[in-house]
Amino acid sequence: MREEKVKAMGIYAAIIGLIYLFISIMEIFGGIYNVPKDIFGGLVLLVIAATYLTGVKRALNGECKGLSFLIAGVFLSSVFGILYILILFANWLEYLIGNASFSFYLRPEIWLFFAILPLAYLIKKEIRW
Amino acid sequence: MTTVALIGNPNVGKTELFNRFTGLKQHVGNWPGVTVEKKVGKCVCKGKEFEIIDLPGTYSLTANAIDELIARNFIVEGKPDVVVDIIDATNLERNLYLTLLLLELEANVVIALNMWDIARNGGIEIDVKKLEELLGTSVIPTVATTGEGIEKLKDEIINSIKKERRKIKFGYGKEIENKIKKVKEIIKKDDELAKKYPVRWLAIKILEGDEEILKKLDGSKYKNEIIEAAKNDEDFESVLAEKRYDIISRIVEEVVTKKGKEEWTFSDMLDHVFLHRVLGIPIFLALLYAVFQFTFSFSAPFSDMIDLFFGWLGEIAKQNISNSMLASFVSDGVLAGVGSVLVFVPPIFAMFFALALLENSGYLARAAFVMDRLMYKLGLHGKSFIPMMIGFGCNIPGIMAARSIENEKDRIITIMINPLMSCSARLPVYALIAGVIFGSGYMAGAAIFSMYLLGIALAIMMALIFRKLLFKGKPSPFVLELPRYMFPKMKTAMLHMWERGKWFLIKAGTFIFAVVIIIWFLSNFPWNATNGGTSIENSYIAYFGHAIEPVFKPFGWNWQASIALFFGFLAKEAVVGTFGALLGSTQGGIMEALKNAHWFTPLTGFAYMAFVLIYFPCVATIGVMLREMKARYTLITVTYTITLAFIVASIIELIGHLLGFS
Repeated sequence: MREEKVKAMGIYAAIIGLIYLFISIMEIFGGIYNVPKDIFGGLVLLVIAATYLTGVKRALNGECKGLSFLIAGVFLSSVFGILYILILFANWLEYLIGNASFSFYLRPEIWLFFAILPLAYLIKKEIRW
Repeated sequence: MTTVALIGNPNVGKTELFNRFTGLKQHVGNWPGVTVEKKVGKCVCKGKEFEIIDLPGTYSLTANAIDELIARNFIVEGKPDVVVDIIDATNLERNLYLTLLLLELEANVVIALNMWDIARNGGIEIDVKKLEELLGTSVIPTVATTGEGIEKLKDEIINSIKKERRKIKFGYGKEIENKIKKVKEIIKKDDELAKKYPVRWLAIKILEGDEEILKKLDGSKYKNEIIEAAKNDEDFESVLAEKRYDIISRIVEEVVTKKGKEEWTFSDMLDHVFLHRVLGIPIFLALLYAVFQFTFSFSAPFSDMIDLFFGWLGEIAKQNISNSMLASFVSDGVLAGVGSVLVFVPPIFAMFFALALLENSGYLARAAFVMDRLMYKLGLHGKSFIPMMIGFGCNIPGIMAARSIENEKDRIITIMINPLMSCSARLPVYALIAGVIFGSGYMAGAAIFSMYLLGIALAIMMALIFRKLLFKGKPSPFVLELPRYMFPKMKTAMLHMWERGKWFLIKAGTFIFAVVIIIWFLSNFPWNATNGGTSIENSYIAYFGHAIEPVFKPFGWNWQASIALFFGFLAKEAVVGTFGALLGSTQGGIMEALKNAHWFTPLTGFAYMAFVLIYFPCVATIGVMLREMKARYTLITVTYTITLAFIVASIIELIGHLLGFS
C-alpha cells in the first residue's frame, strides 16, 4: 500500500475523529444546536472518537498498523449509524400506528455514518480481506 | 444402527457438520464451548441409518474438565463405530494432538479436514495423501459451511466400517516404551480390563496418573501390581505431551507448505484494536449499548402493535361474551395476562438477533478475552465471561457452559454468579417498567442497559467475595483460542434467534398461561365479594398481597407490585403476566394501563428493576444449579441473591432520595 494513501486516510480520520469528539461533548452536556442530551450516546461517540484519533499518528507516519484503528472506527461508526437509521424507521412505524408524533430528525450518528463512507471505500480498496 | 461420533477442538465447525449430517438446526456459534453436552441426531446415508453424536469440543482427552470427560467416556465406553475427527485445516499443529490421542485410543478415526477453503485461500497447502499415509487413516477435506466434501466424507464413513484400519503406533522413545510395555504386560493378565480397554492406551493413561482411569482398576486383582509397575518420578503427562508435539511437528513439516510471506491479516488488524489495553473494554461496552438500544428502541413499535392487538381483542371479548365471568376470564385473564407477556417477544427476539450477530462475527470471544484482564484481577476466571454472556439469553445454558472450566473452584464461582446475568425473562420486566417511567425515548434504552451493567458489576463483586471467603486462591490462567472474524450470516443469526427465542413463546403458552389463570382466579374471587372482579381489593390476591406488602412498602411498592415479585419466584416473566392480569384488558395496552395506575415513580421503578434483576434465580435455574454443584452452594446462592436484592434496592432508593428524586 502506498504511504501517501495511508497518510491521506490519516488526515481524513483525524478530521472525523475531531468531529466525533466535538459531538460527543455536545451529547453529554446536551441541548447545543439541536443535539439531544444523551449521556450514554455521548460516551459511545467519545469511544469512537478515541478509536479514530489513536490511529491518526501512526497513519500520518504512513504505518499500516495505524489503519487498524481506522478500520475499527469505521466499523463502530457503521454499527451506530445503521442502528439509529433503524430506530428512525421504528419511530416512523410508531407514528403510523398512531402512538407518537414523527419528525425526520437525523441524529449526528447517522450523518457521521455517511461522512465515513469515503474512508470505508478507501480502506476496502486497499486492504486484502 | 451405526454410531458416528463427531469430535474436534473447540470452534472447528463440529456443530455445523452435525447439522449438515442430520438436517437438525443445533445452534452454531463462533466461539469455543457451544457444545457442552453431547447432542444426538440421526441420518440416513446410502440406505444406511446412522446415529450421529456431536461431542463437546476438546483439545485433549484427559479428565481435567467435564466436557473433556464427556467426550472421552463416550469414545471409551460407548465405543462408536466411527469417530469423525474434525480438524481445522488452518491450524494443523494444534488440532493433530487430539488426533494422536484418538489413534492411541484405537478408535476407528476418519479425519474431516475442515475449513479447507480458508486454508486454501490463505496459501496453506496440505498434502492430503501424505497425511493419510502418516496417520494411517482417511483424510477428507471439507467446508462445513458450504457442504463441500460432505458427501465424500459420508462415503468414507461407510467404507471405514467395512475396511480394516492400518494401525500406526507412535513411538515415544526406548525408555518410555519399556515402561509402557511393562505396565501392558500386567494389564494383559486381567482379561476383563484387556477386553474392555485398549491395553496400550490404558498403560499410557496409568503412567500419566489419570485419576479417572486409576479408579477403573479398583475391581482388578492386579491393581497393586499395575500401580507398582507404573511408579515413576517423572511427570509422565508432560513428557508424553512433549513427545506427541515432536511427532506432530514432524508430520506438519512433511505435509504443510505455506505460500507467500506472513502478512498482517484483516483479523490481526481488528484484534489490534478490539483487544487494545485501553480501548478494548470501552469498545465492548459501546457495542453492548448498541445491542440494548436495538433491543428496546427498534422493537418498540412491534411490541406496541401486539399490545394494541391484544387490547382490541380483549375489548371484543368483553363486548361479545354475555356471561360476565367468562368474559372476564377471557378478556382480563387469558388475553390480558398472556398478551402482556407476548408483547415482549419483539425485544427478546431483537436481543437474540443482535447477540447472534456479535457472536457469529467472532467478536464475543474477544469480549471474553478483553474482560479477562479485569476479571482475573478481581479473582474471577476469564473463561467465566462466556457463561456470563450466555446467561444474558438464559441462565440455564449459562450455568451448563461453566462445564468447560477445568478448575472446580472457578466453575462453582461462575455458576453462583450466573443468576446475576440479566436473562431474557427479565427483559420484559425492564422493558415494561423502563417504558412506564422513562417513556419510549433513549433514556429507557439506557435504563435497560444500566441493568445489564449492574448485573455484570454485581457478579464481579460477588465473585471477589466468594474468592476471598469460600474459594481461596488464585483463578487458573485463561487460555482462549480466538476464532476467525467472519461476516455474520443472516440465516444463521435468524436461526439462532429463533432457537433461543422460541422457548419464550413456549413458556408464555404453557407455564405463564397457567400462572395468569391462577392470578385471574385469585384476583376475581370470591366472585360476589369482588363484585364480579371489579373490586379487586376484596379478592384473595389482595389479602395475600396486603400480607406481604409490609416487606416491600419501604421501597414504595404497593401490594400489586409485591405480589408480582412473589409470582416472579417461579419465572421472571410472571411478574409482567401478573401486572397484565391485575390491570385487566385495556385498549391502550399494558404499558398505558400501568402508566395510568401510577404504581411507580422513576425512583421506585428503577429500584424495582434492580430488585427483579437480583432476587432469587427462577425455579428452573435452581434445579440446574442443584444438578451442577453441591446443594449447599445452591442454598448460598439463593440466600445471597435475596439479601443482595434488598441491599441494592435500598442503596438505589437512598441515593435517589439524596439526589432529590421521588
